[in-house]
Amino acid sequence: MINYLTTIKSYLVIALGMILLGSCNLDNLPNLDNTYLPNYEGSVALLLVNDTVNIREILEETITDTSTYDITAEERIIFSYEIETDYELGSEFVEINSFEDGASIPSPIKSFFIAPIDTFVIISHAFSFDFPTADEEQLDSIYYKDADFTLEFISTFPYEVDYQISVPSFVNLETGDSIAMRSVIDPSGLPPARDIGRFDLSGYRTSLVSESDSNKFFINLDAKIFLKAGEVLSGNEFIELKLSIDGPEYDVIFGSFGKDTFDVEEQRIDLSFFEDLGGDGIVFESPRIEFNINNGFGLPTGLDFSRVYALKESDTIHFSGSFADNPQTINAAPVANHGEVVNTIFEINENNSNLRDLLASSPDEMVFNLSGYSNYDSDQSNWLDTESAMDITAKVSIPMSFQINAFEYENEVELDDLSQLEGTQELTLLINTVNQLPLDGSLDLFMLDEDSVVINSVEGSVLFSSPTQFDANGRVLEPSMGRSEITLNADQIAALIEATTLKTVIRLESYNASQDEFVEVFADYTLQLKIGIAGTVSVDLNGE
Amino acid sequence: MKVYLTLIFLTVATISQAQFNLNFYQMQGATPQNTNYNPAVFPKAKVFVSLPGISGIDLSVNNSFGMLDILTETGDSTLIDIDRFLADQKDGAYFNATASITDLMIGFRTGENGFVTLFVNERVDATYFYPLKLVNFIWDGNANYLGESYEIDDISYDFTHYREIGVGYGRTINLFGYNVDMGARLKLLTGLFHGSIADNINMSVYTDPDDYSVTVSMQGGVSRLAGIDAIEDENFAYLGFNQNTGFGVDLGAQVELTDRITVGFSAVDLGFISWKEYSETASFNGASFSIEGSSFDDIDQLATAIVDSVESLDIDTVAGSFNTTLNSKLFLNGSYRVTENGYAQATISNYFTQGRMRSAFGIGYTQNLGNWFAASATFSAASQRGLDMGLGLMLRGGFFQTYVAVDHIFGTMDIPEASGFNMKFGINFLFGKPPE
Repeated sequence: MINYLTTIKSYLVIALGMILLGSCNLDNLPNLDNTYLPNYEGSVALLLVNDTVNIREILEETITDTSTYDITAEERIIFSYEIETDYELGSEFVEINSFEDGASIPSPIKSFFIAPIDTFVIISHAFSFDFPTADEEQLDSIYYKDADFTLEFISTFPYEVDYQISVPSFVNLETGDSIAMRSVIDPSGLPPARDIGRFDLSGYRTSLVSESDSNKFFINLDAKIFLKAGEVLSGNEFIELKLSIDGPEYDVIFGSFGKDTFDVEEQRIDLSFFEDLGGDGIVFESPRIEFNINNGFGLPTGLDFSRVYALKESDTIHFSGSFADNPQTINAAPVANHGEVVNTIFEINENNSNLRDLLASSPDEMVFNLSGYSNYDSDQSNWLDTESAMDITAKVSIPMSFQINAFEYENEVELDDLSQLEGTQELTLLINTVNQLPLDGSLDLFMLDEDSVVINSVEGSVLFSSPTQFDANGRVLEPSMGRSEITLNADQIAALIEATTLKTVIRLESYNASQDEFVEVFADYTLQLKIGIAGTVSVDLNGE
Repeated sequence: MKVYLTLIFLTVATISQAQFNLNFYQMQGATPQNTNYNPAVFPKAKVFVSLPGISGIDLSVNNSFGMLDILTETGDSTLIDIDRFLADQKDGAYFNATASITDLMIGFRTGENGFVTLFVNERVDATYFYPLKLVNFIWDGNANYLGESYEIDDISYDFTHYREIGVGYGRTINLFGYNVDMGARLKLLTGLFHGSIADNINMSVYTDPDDYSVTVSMQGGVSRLAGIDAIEDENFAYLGFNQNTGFGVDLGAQVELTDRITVGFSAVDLGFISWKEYSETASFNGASFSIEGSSFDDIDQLATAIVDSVESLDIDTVAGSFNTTLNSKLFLNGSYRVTENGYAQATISNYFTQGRMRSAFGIGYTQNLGNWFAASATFSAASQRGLDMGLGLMLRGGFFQTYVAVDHIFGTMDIPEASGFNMKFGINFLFGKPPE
């Protein structure tokens, strides 16, 4: 029994020894301090982009100033910009200023005289004075808003003078009375004697008569000098009349103001719309600029557009065409309808100007330097009132009907570290489109190094194609469905990894642009775009 | 990424492969814990007591592959060789962990032929079947399956922690002239935690060749979950008793055909648990999601969009009861008494998990010396594994008994190749001698 137990015990010891000596085969244990994962080299296909681009949404997202475009009920898109200016300085047409004038009348008794009996010396005279204007405009009448009229009567007769002055050219509009001044002055033996009358002209009208290129108004003077018997006159006495008008302002003024020039304040239209589009070469079918002018001046005017131009960076593109060749006439209300505002509308379009070409340069802004000519090509009588102004509104309208050929939209993207793609043999971009836009689109990819030198490129890949069926209104009948693949081979992928910048150039061409046809883009057009990517990638899973 | 993958693969690689408890089963009634595998056996004592924490610790972790199945040495470095791993793995690869901890066990003999056992055990059984088709699909890349509906039907897991409180009775009877040891145990089960997929999920992945959109759709598959919310609710009373109750039965019998030949069987863990408290189900049937790209504005958020697509998976989780069956085991055994106390044995072990049966066959030898010593060695073979050996040892001094049993010795010792680990050990208190 003891031997038996001893045997069993020996077996157990041997077995345990074998187990322990085996040491769990730790010698064959792999080095767990430096494990690594293989590169992931699966063939992956993934739909990256699935988006529907809606023109209305693009407009809303890219053009923050919603006043710069309209979308009609028919979904037509019209880009529009407005400028508005007021021209109010009627004084540039007629300017009346303060003035002074005067005249004297010698005594009808020219030599020494002793009155033998009580005697009256009678003086009666009609004066005419000039009403000056700054540019010698011919004035018919002036209705005053404000002015001070001063008459001064001076007599060197040493005796009492009974005088009366009437100014028939200055009439109170309310009473119909003209200005008059009557008095008796007595120098009491110490001449001269003088008398002054001051009149507020507001509410008065001055009627003027054109004579010898000047505007005349009239003053009548009647004076009676009383001499007692034995009183003496030297023969040198006279009567003097002085007048002045200070601070004249008119409510209305009539006349023939002649021809004059004036400048309308420069206006600029920011055409950032083109910058939003991001490219050149868009020829719009029917751009137009509509001028709407409300003329509150009583004089017809010619407006000169020859100094309108567009700016493209440092380049200037001048406006030309029949519209710019001659001033455009702005009508005015006749004198009989004074105070009336006359509306004149005219339109600049591709038929009377080079507007289409001018916009095709994708200008940054348009500059309107307008000059005006008063009484341009007209000899009608004029009027001005204090409310006279000229409102000029210009609205640039560009319907989204265009033609583009080789339009390029460029974009550059800084690339992150793409080294994880090292070893990738091929990448395929799969592009599916359902396109309502009447455009053909293609894509060029350029891999640029840090010096912007092209390392490699993939060019001419079709992105989408234009529908070919349109209705009578130019709307696309059926969208175009397209499918294209852009494949990057190993060299191109290597270039992509090496590149610091990926430049994308999207080239657009409108349907039948080569046939000089125009297409219209409606706001409800969409471009459904799916971009998938597939390739056997090699991704380092050990990257930190 | 690398760190996580390394951890995942090494963790499963250093634990081992399915254990079938062949060696321990062949130790027959050497310890009180043997009654957990065969209720027809009883230790060589009149009374035994097993206490919590020290008496019955039964741990088993199994995996379908070992460390060297996934690691390849390349000079000073070690490659986590996913290609080789995927090429070598077969359908049904799994990870399994079980634990059986004795809370309390008392047994005593009733007369010369009968015995009664009372026991409380904690039972944990977790099995996760590797979704190799899914892993293979991801590793290959979906571009290799353009226009095809790639089917993934190997996503399955089952986790259960329950407590069994039971009573067993065994007796030796003479039946048709043969001595027959019979035993049965009735168990009241209290479910604590559960998670599983019922009705395998059939996941279909379709990559549209026209635009590379990916659609994932699912058929079948019901996720079941119980008990987790109790922890979140800090409802610790739930861990004592709750409404997740069930019933289980262990059966065993051995027939002494001749003086030397004995055959027997045991079927244990037959039963079910009805989960009613903190239980919920979620059906994947008909659920789907698509990865359909991103808008231009959000192209830099593509990964987020993909995650959002997956999260858009519309799965209705509803509170509801469900029943689960226990992972049963069936042992068939035959022994030949070589010496007075030495037995050559052959055993077939069948484990049932989620409707799948895994089997192993073992032959071994068990030597008893009186009541104080038992040693057993078993050579086993199982599908997807090579030959291996298990050892068991029981020593008793007075009322003090200690034991240890290890299956899959070669695999466990050879850590680079190890794909499983199994060990049972404990200290019991046995009193008296069995009737002669």
